[in-house]
Amino acid sequence: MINVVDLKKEYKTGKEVVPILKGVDLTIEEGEFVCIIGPSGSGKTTLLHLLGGLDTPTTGTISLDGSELTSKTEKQRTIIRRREIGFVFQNYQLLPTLTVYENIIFPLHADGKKASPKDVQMLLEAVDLVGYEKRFPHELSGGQQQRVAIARALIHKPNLLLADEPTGNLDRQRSSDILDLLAKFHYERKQTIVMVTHDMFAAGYADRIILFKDGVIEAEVKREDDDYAKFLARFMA
Amino acid sequence: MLSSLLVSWRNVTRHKKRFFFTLMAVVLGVAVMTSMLIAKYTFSNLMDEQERLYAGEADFWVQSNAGFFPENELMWLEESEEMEEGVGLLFQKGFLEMETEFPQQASVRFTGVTDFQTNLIDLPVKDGDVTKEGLIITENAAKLLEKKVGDLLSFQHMGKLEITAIVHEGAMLTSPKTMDAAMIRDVQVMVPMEILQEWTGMENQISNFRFKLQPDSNKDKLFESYQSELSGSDLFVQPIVVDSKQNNDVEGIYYVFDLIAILAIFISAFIAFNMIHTSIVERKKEIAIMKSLGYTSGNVIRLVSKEIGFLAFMGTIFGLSIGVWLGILIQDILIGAISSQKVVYDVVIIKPLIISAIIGFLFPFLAAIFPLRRAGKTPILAGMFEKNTATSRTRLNIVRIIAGMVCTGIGLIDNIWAFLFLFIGLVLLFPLWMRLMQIIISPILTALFGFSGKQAVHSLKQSERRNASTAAMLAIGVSLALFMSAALQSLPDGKEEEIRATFGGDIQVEKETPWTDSDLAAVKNIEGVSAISPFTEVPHITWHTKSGDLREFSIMSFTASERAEAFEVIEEVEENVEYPSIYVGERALIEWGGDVGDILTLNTPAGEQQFYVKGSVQTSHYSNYVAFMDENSIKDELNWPHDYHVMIDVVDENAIYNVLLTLWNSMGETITSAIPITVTIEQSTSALTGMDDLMQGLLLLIIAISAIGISNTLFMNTMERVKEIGTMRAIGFTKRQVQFMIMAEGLFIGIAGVVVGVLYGILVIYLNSISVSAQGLLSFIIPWVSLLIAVAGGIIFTILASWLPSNSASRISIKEAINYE
Amino acid sequence: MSVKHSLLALLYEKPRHGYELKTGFEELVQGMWPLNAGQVYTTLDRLERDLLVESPGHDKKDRKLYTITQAGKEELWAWLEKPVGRSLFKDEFYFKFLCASHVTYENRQSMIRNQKETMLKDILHLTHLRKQMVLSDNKTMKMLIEGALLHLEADIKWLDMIAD
Repeated sequence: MINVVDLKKEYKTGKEVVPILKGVDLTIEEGEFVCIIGPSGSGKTTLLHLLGGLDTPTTGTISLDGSELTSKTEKQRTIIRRREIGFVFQNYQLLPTLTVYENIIFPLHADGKKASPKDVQMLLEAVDLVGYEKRFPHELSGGQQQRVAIARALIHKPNLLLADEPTGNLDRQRSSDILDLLAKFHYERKQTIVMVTHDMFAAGYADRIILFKDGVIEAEVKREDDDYAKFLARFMA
Repeated sequence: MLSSLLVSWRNVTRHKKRFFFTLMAVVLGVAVMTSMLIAKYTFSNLMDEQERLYAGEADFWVQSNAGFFPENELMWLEESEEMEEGVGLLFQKGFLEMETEFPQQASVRFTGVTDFQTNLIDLPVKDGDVTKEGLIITENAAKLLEKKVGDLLSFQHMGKLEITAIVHEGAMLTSPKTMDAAMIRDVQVMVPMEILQEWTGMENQISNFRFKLQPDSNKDKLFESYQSELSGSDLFVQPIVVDSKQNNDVEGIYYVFDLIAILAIFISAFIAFNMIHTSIVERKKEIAIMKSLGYTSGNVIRLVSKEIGFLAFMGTIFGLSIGVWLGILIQDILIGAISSQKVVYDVVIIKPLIISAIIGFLFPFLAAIFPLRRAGKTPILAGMFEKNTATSRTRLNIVRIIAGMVCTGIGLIDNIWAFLFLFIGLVLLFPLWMRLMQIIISPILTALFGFSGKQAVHSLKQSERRNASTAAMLAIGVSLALFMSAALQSLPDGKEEEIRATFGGDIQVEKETPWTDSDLAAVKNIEGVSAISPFTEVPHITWHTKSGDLREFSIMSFTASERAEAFEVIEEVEENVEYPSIYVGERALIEWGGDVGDILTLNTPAGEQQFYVKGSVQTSHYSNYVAFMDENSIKDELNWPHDYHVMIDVVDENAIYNVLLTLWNSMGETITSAIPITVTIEQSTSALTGMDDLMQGLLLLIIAISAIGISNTLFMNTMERVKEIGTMRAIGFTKRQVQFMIMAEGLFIGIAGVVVGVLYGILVIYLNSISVSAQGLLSFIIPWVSLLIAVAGGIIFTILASWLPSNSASRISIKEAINYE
Repeated sequence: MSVKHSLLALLYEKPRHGYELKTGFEELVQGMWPLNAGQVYTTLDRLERDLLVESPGHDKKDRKLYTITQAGKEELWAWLEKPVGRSLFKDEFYFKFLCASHVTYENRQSMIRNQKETMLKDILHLTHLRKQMVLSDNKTMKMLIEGALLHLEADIKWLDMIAD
């Protein structure tokens, strides 16, 4: 589903060129739940932004379902994003002047489509926000806001859900709720999920964990591998 | 469903006060523009209407170079089959029976009319029946003489007639309003032709014959055939032309109206720009989120455009309503100032409304072009994840300062458009002026407000560009206010100088019949007269502009040796032997569309003729809408053998009074008019003086709009600094200190705007006084009263404008402010 | 630990025989606590002796059935109601850490590291289990895991603290 080849990204700060990604190769299969962990500044968030077409790489390619994302124009990437990709961010990033309902249907609206009330109702039930449709984001708790964000990321039935530290701003209990929700969508809808986190508790939900360090993939491990836990524990410790 | 209009509405009204003030600015901008356009169109319509009323529905008229001609000479014309309707008119002088020591006060001009039922004469009836044969007088005359319909009016040596109708003042008939005005103007009345001919012994004689052709006739061809029919005789035919330019130089007023409208819209646009720009900077993050969710740049621009649409739509609707009211008010004041009589006029509303609606709706979008582009280009990642979006303290932008210097340099060039650059330069250079002003204003603010004042000076640097532009708008308002009133003060002096230079003598006398040698000798012998010079003036010369419209002016004679007394040459070329030469007044030349050295075709009493435009000139005669020809050739070339005009020089201006009295007593029956130079000066300057108050008021309005800009800017400044202000409060600033701080910021902007505005105003006045293209009409004077009003108005409006934002800033809750994201 | 009380709880639900109790217990703990048949029967014998359970007889396959007695119910209530205190030295690692300081154990750092590694393993294991509980909608178990994860989180923080 996703194929990343020799991806590099550099940022210029003044005269200095700072490499963030130093050549990443990665393949993600349909229906996988992949977690990218690593220390802050390792480039994991940058990779996620590149996967979502929010940014363009310096060199290298990203293919999404066989079509190359990196050669597309800004507008084409936007259209791919609003049809194929759902985004969940650490800071929820809800639109303050829109109600819960309006926030959720925003990606469809951006694509000029109408939301089916049944779909919205189902999502509201799934994220347990029935009755909150007319509230504004500032009237909700952090966990509720993030649940709205998840509903918003899934309203257009994206092939790929990208989550950037979705539990970063939440306490343990609320972050567990959010992870449960992601697990449920992964299990019930075979939703492909790529999640960036530095939270071990979140990482345990994934089928595969990719460890990032200094702009390269340091190691990766699958749940069924024997030394899964040991391997991880070594890096996290 | 996501109703995007509702969402846009929520977005616009998120900061209610800011939206309200911006809306106010748009409303006022549109209102001022609408009122200016209404005033301009109504005024111009009024001028044309007056001419149209005089022309009636007639197509052509026949006159004689001898002043009168026997009516039966036109039998061939009256009986021709293309003739639909015709009417003969006779103008004669007479005097009312009344007690007065000044004969000219009783002077009456009769218009004898062959047919009272004709459609060719249009009279605005007030009372009575104008189609009934009898005496028709105007409203002013009725009041002055205390007469009403049915009363008898008697005329010296003539007889009595019953008043059958009273009409409003108009082009056909107008009378003086007061006895003072009656000294120089006739009471104009209309009487049946036979009675006038009998009273004056002018049996069968008429002054002119107006007629209308059948609608389907070929007018151009018939005109030519009439011209050839009449060629070689005393008679000549002319089309009837509606052209008010000879009598009124109103382009100057239009120019002022346009200037004020543009200024108002410009300042409103700037305030709208400020709000939209700030709103987009503030919502950078939201826009980035939308883009991350699949909004394209186009989607973002459409969204923000809808918000601007609200502003534009509401602003235009309210602005138009207020503008209509304001326009009618201004129009009333204007007519009162310019016209000495009560005039009935129609307010022209539809066209100004349509223009204002279009501009009013579009300008907020124009003001939003750059912010919109910026919104569209908002980078997703930077917008969403950068913590600090606040503008950092910027150093003076060198490019901007250099561009400002260049524009100012261009602005110093002597050209009417160069002033625009001067003001662009002003806006560009304003951050620099603000820095300089800081040196002066800081101590004042510190003295006034203590530490709050000091803090305000620091805070102002945070959004320096916005503050500078806000002050710049005020400065432009103030400087134009000063310039306008300096212009209004010095224009009359300039006009007087011009009239004195080109009037050509002291009293201009026009007679109904040609001057004879004995007449001239009699005048010459009046005590106080030092010299007389008869001159030729051929009226009603018609011509086509380059765009094909018919126009009309007079050609006057000049003496080659003394031509400087008639006009000042602006441009002149070599003689052309093929055609007779004329000098054309600049306004006429511009209206025509041709250049010096071109050939101008005129319909003259000698038929259609071609002339060589030898030069363009500046003169006080006919507001410069006139042409001049050498006295040696004018009579032959134009088939105008008689002189009806004479210019009298007196020994000194005090003698004018006596000369006039003697003149009226001795030959009053035949004098059409006798206008001394003093009256001409007074007439042409009184209108300007009358407009002074109106202009002061309008410019105060402009300053008020700029003050709204200050309110808005302060609201935005405090909104951005909620956290900072909250922290200040937390660590010990009192509410009052916060309030003082914001007031001090407003005052800084206000003082900077006023001071720089005054300096630029004086600069503009100076540049105009040395300008060659302003033809020395303006002299360098500093209008102290206006300066005081502008300074006081600027400061008072600023204090008012600062009060609300400072009040709301002082109410910022410490707790909320500190948690503010 | 209270295998005894869990058997009482299972019997409170319905009468069961020995093997049923074994499988019931394993189901309760999601197979994470293997229990051998001997332990079940020894416990049952003790319960019967203390008159907390009694046997109404054998089922058709000749397996001895057990039911809870009134005394057994009272014992269960009392146990459920009694709060559980937390002994400082109940956690074995605490004790190890204490002892290590006495023997000036040189590999103290690696001891801590190994402990952390194990705990991380537990976390991964438990989060995965939690995910399964969520999907199978087992709320009680989910809560238990939640509690264990919170403990582990705190433990790891403590390990990080003592590692310095």
